[in-house]
Amino acid sequence: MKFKPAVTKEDTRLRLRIFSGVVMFVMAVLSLRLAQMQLVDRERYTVEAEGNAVEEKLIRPARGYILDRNGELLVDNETTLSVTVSPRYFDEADVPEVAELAGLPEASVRRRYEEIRARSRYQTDVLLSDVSFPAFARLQEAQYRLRGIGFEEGQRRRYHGEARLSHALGYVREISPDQLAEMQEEGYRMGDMVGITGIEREYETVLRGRVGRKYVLVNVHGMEVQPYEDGAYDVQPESGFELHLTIDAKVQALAESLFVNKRGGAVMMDVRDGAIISMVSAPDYDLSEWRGRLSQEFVDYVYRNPDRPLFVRATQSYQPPGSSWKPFMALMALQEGILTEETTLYCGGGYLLGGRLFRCHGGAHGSISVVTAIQRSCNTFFFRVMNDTINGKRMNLDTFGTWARRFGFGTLAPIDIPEQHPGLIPDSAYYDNLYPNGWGPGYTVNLGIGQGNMGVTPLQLARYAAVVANGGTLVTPHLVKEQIDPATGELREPVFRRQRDLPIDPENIAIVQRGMELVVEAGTARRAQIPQAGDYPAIRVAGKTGTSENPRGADHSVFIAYAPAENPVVAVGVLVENAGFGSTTAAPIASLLIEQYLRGEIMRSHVVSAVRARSSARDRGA
Amino acid sequence: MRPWYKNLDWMTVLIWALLVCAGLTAIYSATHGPAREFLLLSVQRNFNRQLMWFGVSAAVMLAIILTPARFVFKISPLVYVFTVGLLVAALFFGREVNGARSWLYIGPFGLQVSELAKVGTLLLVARMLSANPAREGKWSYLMLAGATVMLPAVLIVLQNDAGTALVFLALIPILLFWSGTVPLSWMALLVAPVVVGYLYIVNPLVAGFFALVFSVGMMFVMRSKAFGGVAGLFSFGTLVMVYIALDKVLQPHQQARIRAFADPERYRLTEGFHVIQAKAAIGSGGFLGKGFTNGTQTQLAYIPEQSTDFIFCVIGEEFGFVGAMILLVLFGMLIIRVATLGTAAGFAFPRLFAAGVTGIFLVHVLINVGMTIGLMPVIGIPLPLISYGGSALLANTAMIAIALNLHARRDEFAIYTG
Repeated sequence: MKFKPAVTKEDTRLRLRIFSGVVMFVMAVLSLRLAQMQLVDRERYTVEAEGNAVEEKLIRPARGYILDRNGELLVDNETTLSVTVSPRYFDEADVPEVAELAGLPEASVRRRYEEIRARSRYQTDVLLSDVSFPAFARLQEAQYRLRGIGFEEGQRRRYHGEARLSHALGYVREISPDQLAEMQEEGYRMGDMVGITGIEREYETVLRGRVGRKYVLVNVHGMEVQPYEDGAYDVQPESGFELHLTIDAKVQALAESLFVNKRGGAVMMDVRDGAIISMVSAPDYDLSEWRGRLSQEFVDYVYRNPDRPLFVRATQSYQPPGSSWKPFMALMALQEGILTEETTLYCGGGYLLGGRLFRCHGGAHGSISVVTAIQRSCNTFFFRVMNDTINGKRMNLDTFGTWARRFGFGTLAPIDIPEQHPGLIPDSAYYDNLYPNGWGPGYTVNLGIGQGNMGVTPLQLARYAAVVANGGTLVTPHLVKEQIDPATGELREPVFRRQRDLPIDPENIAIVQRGMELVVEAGTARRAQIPQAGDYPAIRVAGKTGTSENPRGADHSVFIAYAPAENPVVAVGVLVENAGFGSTTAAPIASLLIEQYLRGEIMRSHVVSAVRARSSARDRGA
Repeated sequence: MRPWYKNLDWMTVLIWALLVCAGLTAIYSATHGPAREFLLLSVQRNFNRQLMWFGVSAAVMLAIILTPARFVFKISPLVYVFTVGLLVAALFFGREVNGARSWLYIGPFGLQVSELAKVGTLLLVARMLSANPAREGKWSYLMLAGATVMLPAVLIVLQNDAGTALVFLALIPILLFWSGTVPLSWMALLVAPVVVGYLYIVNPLVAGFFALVFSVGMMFVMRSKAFGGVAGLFSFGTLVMVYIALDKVLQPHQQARIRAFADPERYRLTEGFHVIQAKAAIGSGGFLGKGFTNGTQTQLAYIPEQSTDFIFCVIGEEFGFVGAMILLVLFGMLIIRVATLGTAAGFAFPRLFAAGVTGIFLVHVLINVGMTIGLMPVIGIPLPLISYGGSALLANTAMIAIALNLHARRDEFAIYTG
């Protein structure tokens, strides 16, 4: 079979016409499609193209610095390297490679990526924060093949000076997914740092500053190319406020060194306004360890050590105050008219109640007045104040509770530290609950000497000492003196609750003050004396020792003090766990802190060595 | 008898020059605009090299036009053997670029031999189809002509450049159409597989429906059950073949590309990325475009291969609908003009050669522009005269020059009647 060649002139012309028709048809189809895209649907494609190119970037402000009362820098920031991810460009199949380059477990990187992706596909977020430099270098080398991976600078806290201030400053961590869910509306984003404890938490909003925003054109690799519309929509970040603390770094460093090998807490404050000069809690931890991925060693120490380093003993640990409670009892009884300065009570070496002898220590004190009772720490005297009808009046649990709360016991202080415990001041309901079969004076008489079912924190002890020292004013303890805007120099003083004048007569205060002065001069706390040294005159310290009975092991050593006795400036509350009598450990610590603060140096290095040599014993089977 | 230079079609030369200049403009924007800082140095140099190739091509065009037509006719087998020989050489000594081993280097001088093979193949096939045995419709001779096209196509597939091979295959129905050995009605049968294959990718059900309508329609139009049967065989056969090809023959990454064409959003970050970015570029260009070197998609390097396969996006984005339309109109004019020149003398050789050139141009424009606007799957073939690529510019210019030569010197062809 053969085909006929059909190429006449007419036939060729027909074929040319058909071919031209096909060409025009093809061009028409392409043109119509172009018209549809460029004229009709232009808006849609413009959104797509701009969504590509314009990206909002958050500029994290510098977190506010923290300085001590003398302007010594405690905390500033250093730059870290973060790896970011843009989910819309990132291929999930790259997760293993990213994890390997970063030296992290794949599962954790994947979990993190999924969190970011779930939040927003279009938002670039921090995938890995605070990565090590080698890991950063490896990732940067591989960036060209890891689409959607980017880098930015982050910051972490840097700590300066000898004082660790672990509990007062608190630590900062990257925001957790749970926190983020709560705080997202305040503009927090993944990879942001947020204060978890202490001042960092309490002053989070002040320290954080205001997040800035910039809009940039990014290329296909997510690389920033140029500002969008010359930065017309950009918002500059504002650094956080600088916090100037009331803490004295030198006193703090000394306090921390004295608490090495011990458990316990101490607070020293200005008796005039409650400014906390030193706040120590032992054991503590190194704040700079809270960075990036925590070392296993640190995790074990912080979370599994039985001494619980995260526990803020200065404000959370509450123990019976022991005999340091006696000045309070005296003030209350004097004010309630149960005692007068002249009232004498007889101590025969103990107090008999319901057939049980409550012993006094140091033998029989005989007939003594309230000043002597404080000086010699007579238990019998205060058992009787708690339980007997004297001058026609008698103490009851309600009065006791009311006065205790007036002094700040059993309640939270309006301090600017979030971690606090109110302690324990019992009322009758408390005993009803504890002893459903009935209870009597035998159960509560111990409260008169600061033992039994009660507990106070070192912070509360210091505040109470300040009341005695300043003549009856309950000050508001605080850690921050002022906040300064680093850009404008604008100064803000935090508004604290006004201090309260307690209904105590000055002459009654004077009686108790004399008792506490004698405790140091010629009583149980002679170790707290600060004698004349070199050019420094002697500093008269007033105080009261306490030995907090501990049924589980060695007693806790307690001391409260203020100085100088004639014109008080500072008050101290010290509690050292399992360290025996208040006079042996807590009292010298308090006197050293006072000396350091008032003199600016320590003239008694032998006392420092003696205190450092002591350590907290272990509880039996605790 | 007019001398050849008075017969030369200057209009075609002008359109050719305009298209090459449009290409240079787009390449300049893609490589010397703000985008340059994200580009490899080798890509940045594309503009200068294309400029050099423009000069080389213009010289080659002049040389070809100065060559006697008879000589062109005579050496066509030699050119074929030479260019196909280069294809074979590339298989052994070639360098791989973007996965295709189609580059032959002579010193620093790289040639994409598959482009040059188009010229040789076209010359020889046009000569064979214009010879008497073909015109008499000898099947064996037609088969031989088909084999002449298939040989370079197979070599190019072996070089792993399926897109270019596809262009060679498209030559067969185009040349059959123009050679006149096959009745026009039969040509319709050849259209069916193309349409069915395309529709299958978009939606298999629609493809099946089209096959049915086509078969029944052909039966009624031709008033022949047999013809309808053949039409059914062609269209449904294609359906089955495409199904087998898509699911069994193609590599997974090629299958993914086909699926991405049907639903780019689902493959946004992977196979669909090219298409989405290309469409965003062109669509956002609007009526007048964003301006020379001002396209965000282009300058922020969102479009891969933007100086080569996706060059149309640069024009669509920066010069808008107006720019894109001017380009398409120029292409339409060039294609129809060259085809018309081929038919002017009434000889088979120039007509078939011009048919081949215009067919190749049409397929390239359709596929290349089609893929940037989402009408075609991403098949990596360049836009003739526009895309960066020296060998392609040279080959395309040479083909136009030969067509011009055969037209201008048509009087020298007197002995080849028909």
